[in-house]
Amino acid sequence: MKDNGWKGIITLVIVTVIAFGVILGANYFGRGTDKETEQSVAGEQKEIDINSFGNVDPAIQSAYRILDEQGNAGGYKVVTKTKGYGGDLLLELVFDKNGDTITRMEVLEHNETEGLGALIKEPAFLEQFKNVPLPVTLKNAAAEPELPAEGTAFEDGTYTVEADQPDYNGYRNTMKLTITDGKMTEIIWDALDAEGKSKRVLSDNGEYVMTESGPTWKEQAEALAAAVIENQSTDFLSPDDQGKTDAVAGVSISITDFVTLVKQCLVQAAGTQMEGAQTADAAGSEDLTGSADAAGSADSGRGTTVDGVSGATISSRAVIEGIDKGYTFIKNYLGTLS
Amino acid sequence: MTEEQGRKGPFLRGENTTRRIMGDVALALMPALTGSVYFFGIRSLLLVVTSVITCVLSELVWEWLTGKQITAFDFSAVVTGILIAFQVPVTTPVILIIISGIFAIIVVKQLFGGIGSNFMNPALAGRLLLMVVWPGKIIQYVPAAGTDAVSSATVLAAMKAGEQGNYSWLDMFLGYVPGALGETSKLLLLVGAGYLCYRGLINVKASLAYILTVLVVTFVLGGGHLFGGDPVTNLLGGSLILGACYMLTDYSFISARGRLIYSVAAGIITGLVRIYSSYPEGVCFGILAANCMVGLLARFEQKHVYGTKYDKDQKTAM
Amino acid sequence: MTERYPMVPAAFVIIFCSGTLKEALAAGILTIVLTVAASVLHELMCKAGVPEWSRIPSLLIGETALSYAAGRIAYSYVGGLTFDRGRMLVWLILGVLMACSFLWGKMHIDIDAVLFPMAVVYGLWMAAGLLRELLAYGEIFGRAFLEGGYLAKAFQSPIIGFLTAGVILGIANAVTNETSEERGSLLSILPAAALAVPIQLFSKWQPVNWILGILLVGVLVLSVRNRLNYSWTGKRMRGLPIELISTGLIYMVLTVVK
Repeated sequence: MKDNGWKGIITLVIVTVIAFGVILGANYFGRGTDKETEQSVAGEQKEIDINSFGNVDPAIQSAYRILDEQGNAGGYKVVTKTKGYGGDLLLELVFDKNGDTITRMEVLEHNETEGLGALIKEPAFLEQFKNVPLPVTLKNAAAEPELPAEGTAFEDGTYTVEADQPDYNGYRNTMKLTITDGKMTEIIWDALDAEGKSKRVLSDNGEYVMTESGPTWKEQAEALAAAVIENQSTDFLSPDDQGKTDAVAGVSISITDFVTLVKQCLVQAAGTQMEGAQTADAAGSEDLTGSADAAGSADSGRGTTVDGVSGATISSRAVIEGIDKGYTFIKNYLGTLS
Repeated sequence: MTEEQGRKGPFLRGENTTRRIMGDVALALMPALTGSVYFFGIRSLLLVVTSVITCVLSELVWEWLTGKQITAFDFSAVVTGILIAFQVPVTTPVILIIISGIFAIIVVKQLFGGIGSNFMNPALAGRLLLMVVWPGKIIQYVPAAGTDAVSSATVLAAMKAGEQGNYSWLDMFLGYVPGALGETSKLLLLVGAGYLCYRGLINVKASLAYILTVLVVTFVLGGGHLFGGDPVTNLLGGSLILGACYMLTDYSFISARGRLIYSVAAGIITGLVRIYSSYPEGVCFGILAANCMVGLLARFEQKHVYGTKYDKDQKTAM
Repeated sequence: MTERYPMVPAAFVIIFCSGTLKEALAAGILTIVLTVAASVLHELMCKAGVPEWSRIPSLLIGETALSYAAGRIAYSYVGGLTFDRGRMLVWLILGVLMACSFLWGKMHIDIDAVLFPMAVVYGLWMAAGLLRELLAYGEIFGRAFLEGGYLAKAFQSPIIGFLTAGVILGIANAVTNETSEERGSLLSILPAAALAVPIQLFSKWQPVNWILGILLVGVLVLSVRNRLNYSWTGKRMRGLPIELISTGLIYMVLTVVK
């Protein structure tokens, strides 16, 4: 028996020693090839230290230089995080070596609604961005109109705005805003379906129903209008990410369209023309333009317009925002290199 | 829905019974099938027929290759085929229906031992495969014929996006809404279910329990604030009625109370998925999750067969 | 009841290493080598009269080290395979499982008998790797072959990994006239569930995700196992293969939690 005891110990010791040797040897040999690959494998990515730049947009999560076979930068990869409808949207963008076009992009993470916003992952949507001149704008999107500066006089009169495209429910938004003595006195928000029937009329006579109890669409539209007239501004509304507001009793519908329409009317009233659209994130503001579309549709004169996912404007805009922030970052980065 | 009652082997009820039962179920689905052709066009028929042929052929080929008793013509594959097609929109590519059918029959049903031995509902699992691997291809809904609708988001998807749609309750009940082939017309589905009740093939208590649980959960927790949910839309929009009447498996080896617990569990999960996940519809996940948990139920709610001692290896006889 | 080839370790490694043809080729050969090594080592120790209290740690340490080393070297030298942390864990765990198979499992220690079933498994493994690579990327061995809208990255996910493992073992059992027991199947499934977490609830605390994954998958697999007591599952699929398929299906259902 004592023999066995010794055998046991010896075996254990030998095996352990050999095991360590084997592991160390593997590490040594494995590391050798790792080093080689670091230098010459095409596609190797070298991280760019984003913190070394001054004011980097918080949306930029990480960036890399992609090396080609000679070890020069053949492209760039940027990961951006923007706010979608259901949560954060993580995009991986691969730019060409001049940072002019996107060669590849992928949605890494999202929380969008299945069947709607989640369609941004589909190739049909993403392919639009490949190899097209940047920046990109959403078709039929207007930039959030800037409210005219404080103290701008509004000209008396009645101003109307109509959307070009229907929203995904099939209704086209319209608004009629009246200014008397420099103040807003009447705001009529309506929407027309494909046959030209008015949502106000339909909700009044019970054909457009949202919930059985609770105010109808028309009543909510009028409550909103009254509140804005009383405050002579839309700032107090503060819509959240989903376009809902707590500021007006009884209003539970999404109000981003309403706010955009009011601003567009006011811009007309102040006599300033709307500028050609910037990229959708230009204002950098909290406001999201919902599915309302303004009469002047976008064409920035450079870059490309793309189609959003029908019915998922917020999700589509989050993608556009990510792309443009990545593009801006790369351009700045390349600027610092020269 | 009794998918489990027919079993192979020398029992008092043999294959003939399965064929009769499944034949009745297939018959009960015919009104809804007619409706789908009316609402979505002749392509619905193409999808359903393809699905049925795929399922029957898969079962036939498998049983022939493995030398098993041929049960491919006992109509259970037909029912699975119809139900698979009923859960997808009319724009679904045919190849995906075929893949789904093969997966449902061979992987989910036959590999486990054939009818009565599978733990997951094959039709739901077939749809789950499509949702996991090719999610973008099965969500292109179109408006139903006979409506003025321009848009095509399903009722539940619209509700999840925060916009109330413009479909009246009557529209949703009759089927004039966008949706999957077989789920839209609650009226026609209920007609079929009525027939199944008459034939004694539906576990009414379980189905009702399931529906009620979903409604309660979505009413209490949905809608952004307590008690703000919309029970009617949840009842009439989506595939709740389809699932409750035709896809809630009836297990013979757990007690009646156990079956109720099963339905309630499925209902809770369906409701939670509808409210908190990014999917607008939760019936598929709810029932499948409950399918997975049946084993736990069986542990505690075993049906006691009088005169026999419970032996772990004994296959419970009726 | 003995088995002629180490099913549990094979299942575990197939789940993760059958995604591409290249990886299937490499991992398959390594698994065969590791099986032979474990067998030889174990037999040597038995013959030499080494007592059990020493055999157990010796085989565990030795086999794990060997598995790690083999994986590291093979992956480093085969271009296109990366030995990242996930892979390292796979090969470490494989070593442990392989040793367990010989120490406490049902491995029938006979070199001749093990090679035929392993060859069958290897062949099926290669076919699976080819198929999964084609369906996910449209490539074979890294070279583009197919293109189309139906290629889906989902074919590289653990879901398909579990289904693949189940199918391979089922076919292998049918061909080699082998059967498997349920006992021990969780040894391959639970570590896989920790490595390939089905639900990411807490992005900050990964260990919680692992524990949650193990518990959830464990409970559901046991639930399905109990339900399958009332089923007439075929002889070849019964036990480990059908449990692997069940796990794949369970993972599919769990994708709802995002």
